Amino acid sequence: MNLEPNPSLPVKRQAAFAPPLKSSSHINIHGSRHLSRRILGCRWASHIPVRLIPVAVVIASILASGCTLLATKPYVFNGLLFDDPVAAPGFTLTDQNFQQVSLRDFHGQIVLLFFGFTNCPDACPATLGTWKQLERALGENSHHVRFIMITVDPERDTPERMGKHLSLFHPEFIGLTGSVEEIEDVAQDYNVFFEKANVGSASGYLVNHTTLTYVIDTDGKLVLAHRPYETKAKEIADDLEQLLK
Amino acid sequence: MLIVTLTMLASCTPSTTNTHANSGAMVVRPDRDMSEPRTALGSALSHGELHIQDAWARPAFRRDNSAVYLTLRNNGIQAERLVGATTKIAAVVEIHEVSMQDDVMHMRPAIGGVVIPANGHVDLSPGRYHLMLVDLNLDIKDGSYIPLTLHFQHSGEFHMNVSVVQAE
Repeated sequence: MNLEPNPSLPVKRQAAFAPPLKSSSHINIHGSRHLSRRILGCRWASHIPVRLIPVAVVIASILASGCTLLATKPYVFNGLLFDDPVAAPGFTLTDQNFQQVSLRDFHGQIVLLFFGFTNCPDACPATLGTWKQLERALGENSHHVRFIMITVDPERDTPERMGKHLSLFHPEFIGLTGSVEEIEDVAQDYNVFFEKANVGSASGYLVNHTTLTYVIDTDGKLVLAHRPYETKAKEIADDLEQLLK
Repeated sequence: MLIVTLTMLASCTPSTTNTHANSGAMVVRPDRDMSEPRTALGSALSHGELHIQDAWARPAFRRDNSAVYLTLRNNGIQAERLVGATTKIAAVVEIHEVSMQDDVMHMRPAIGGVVIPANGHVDLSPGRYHLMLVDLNLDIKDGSYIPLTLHFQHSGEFHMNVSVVQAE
């Protein structure tokens, strides 16, 4: 994937980050501090004196049909990784209760962020439906995750419209809107392209827009992106659980 | 040593958490006269050589829009074309085509409708095509059914009820 900064967007601001990698990379999340652990690959193997390792290996190979020596296999993210995670661009917008909400309000939690509009019949409800399943899949961990939708149609998407739309999915999903300029600024910061399209629909103009969901970690870093239709709720849950470790 | 090794072998097995999303049972609560054939996910209706499968609609509020998805299977030797659809519960139904370019979603009316090739099928599914119901005149809720008439180029009209389902 090559999400270039969009040349047709007025260049008032540059996006704060480079696009994520096309495919997910391996991240070795288990630093190998102990030699024994490195050789045997088991978490508790660091307690085995190195000289007894050959004995342990023989016994292990005889008995261990169940022991998966893959206990420290590096986790492979289902989403798209950002090569060089930067601080997620801040914003302050208006939520469905007319409150001013800033990204920094959620520091310490994971934030899922996507840009859509309420008249969108396809990608946006698909994302929100996945989020609903994701929230369930996370179980207890859902307390550490915030779900935020920012509109790319501020002219039609008032706070009431956002609230009503999100109520179809989950009472705690946050819907943000603002002035046209505020929305344009945050979209540019996040490298999100959007444009009105008059295609002769009876529903009025449609909005073509970037459909990635961004994942901001508990340190406020933009770390991952997911595509709608491609990643299932369970796969996103696995990614988030990994980030919460 | 053996005991220690066995204990460690037991610890080696990575713990797996079973976090299956609860897919939820779809509640079927017909709320109108069921004289038209119905579909629910996993079932199919026939219209001549055509089979209409897995039709479902998104819940939505009155005055808003919704989307209907379905699979059209053509067992005939002649290609068919879905040229339109109508419903009494919305002002207009439009066939839309969705395409993704560099993660930007583009949506536009499907000019000429959707072709269902002979001995083939077409999926009206998220990210591909959908029937957009514009300006609903009532709320449509998860578990209910909505009437829909499909218009085909060769085989004419087909009336059906489509189930409204919340989850993907």
